[in-house]
Amino acid sequence: MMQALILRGFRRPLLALVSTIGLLGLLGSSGVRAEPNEVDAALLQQVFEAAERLPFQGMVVQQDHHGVSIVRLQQKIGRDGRMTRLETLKPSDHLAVGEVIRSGRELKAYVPGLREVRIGPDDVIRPDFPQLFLPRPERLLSHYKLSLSDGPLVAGLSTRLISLQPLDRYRWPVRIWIDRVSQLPLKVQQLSFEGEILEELSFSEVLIGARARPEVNPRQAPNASWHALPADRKRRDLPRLKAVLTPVAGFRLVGGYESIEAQGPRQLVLSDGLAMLSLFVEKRSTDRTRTALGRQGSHAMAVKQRGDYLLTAVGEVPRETALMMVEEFPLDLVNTITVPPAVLITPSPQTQTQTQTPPQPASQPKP
Amino acid sequence: MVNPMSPDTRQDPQREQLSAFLDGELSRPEAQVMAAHASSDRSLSRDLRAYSLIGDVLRSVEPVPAGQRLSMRIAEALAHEPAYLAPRHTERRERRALMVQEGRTAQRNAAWVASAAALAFVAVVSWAVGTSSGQDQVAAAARGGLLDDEFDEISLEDDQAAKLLQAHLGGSSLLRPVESKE
Repeated sequence: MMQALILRGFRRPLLALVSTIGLLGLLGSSGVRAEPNEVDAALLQQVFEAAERLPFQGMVVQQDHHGVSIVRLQQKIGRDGRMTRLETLKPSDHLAVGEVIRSGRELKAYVPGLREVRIGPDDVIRPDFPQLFLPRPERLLSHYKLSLSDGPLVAGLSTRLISLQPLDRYRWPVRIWIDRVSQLPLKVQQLSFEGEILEELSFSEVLIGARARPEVNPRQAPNASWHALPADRKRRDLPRLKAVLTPVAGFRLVGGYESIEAQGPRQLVLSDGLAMLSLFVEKRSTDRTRTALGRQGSHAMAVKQRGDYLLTAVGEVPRETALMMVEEFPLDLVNTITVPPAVLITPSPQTQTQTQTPPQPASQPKP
Repeated sequence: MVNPMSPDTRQDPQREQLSAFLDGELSRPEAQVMAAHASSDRSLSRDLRAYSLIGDVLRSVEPVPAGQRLSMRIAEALAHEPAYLAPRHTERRERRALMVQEGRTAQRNAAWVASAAALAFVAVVSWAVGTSSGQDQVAAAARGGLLDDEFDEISLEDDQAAKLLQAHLGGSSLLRPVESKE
């Protein structure tokens, strides 16, 4: 009885205390908590996985120096991984690609005007929007300063903005708006160092997860009148080169392609996890005596003749990065590993003074 | 500050100098002497290159700039050109200040300063090289601007360039209308 009276007497303060604790708990858990302004590895991984694992369907608007284009983009997650279908809504002419189906390692582009299916190189290296990162996106933390803030609505969804400010001038600043719920990237901008928007991709409308009803089968049904155009290159990585230090910090060799033509260029794909750059190495002599440089929007290209080889670097990077690659990429090492001794680049006198060890025997890597 | 990745300085006074060289602690005349030694002494130049790379690799999970011939070329050029070291210290101080602002740990700060010294070494010493080599152009790029008259201009709209750009973009290139060339 006495206990009941005591409890009754303390009931109100007790309730107030419990309520306060509960409220504090709620505030601390998520809802009203202020957003952290730093991006950690866990969030980057969530963003990466969202693009890998979530079905979606929507319209994507791309704006760059070419102008504006709109595509329908759909992704379905099946037993064999993700399948993506990209459909051009307003082809420039009847010879333009109508749709692209990416399924696992396979990429097919349908050109109805030519009744042609173009087969892409197997095992595509490059991530496509809304996937922006290569695996292990936490590596970006070494080369960008990342911050997180509230973003505006994108495609009607509440967003958070991840700003990636490069720590050097070898990669562009990037802004990524992610869906606050699913973490799927909804919009991305590449910026110049002056803040000018170089390229933008953005969902104008999107359904994500269970609400999405993606249809990834090709609209075109190729029949006997169609023909297939095989890929002009095949995936061929150079595992021994993956540890090679590239001339630009953070850029790793993430894969490569080999032309099906005997003298076609070898394509080395390099990336810092976000920015991508291809280095084409071609055994071809030109009369080019000076390095050539060009830029178009976010893309830069540098071309240089080094010995018997023509090097072309192209990527969504500043010109400085492309230049650094063609000037300083250790071509002699690539050469030693990939081509027979008969076509080894003869070191220049300058190079010879630095060579401390004789050239290693050439050997062909196993595909 | 002593570079933790420097050679064992107890064994060889020359390598002690090399360590100080890597740490940015030499005076201009001393640096010139070291550069001259590095350009004429293959063993020393190899050590210089190796220590720089090993230090950078161990300090960072990521690959770092490593034009294999770079350090040697820099050293060779330094031997013939006046050294210009002051900005290196300036840049290092700036980077230090930046790190302090960001409140990084002392350990990371030390590693960063060492890396910054190495990078500043490359950037500043390259600047001092007065020849018109490609490395000059790269160094100019590192300072924030390219010398456009040093290069030919190339258009990414050219057939060959466009083809390579398309190969680079892969499936992404199909986001924008791509006209068939066939």
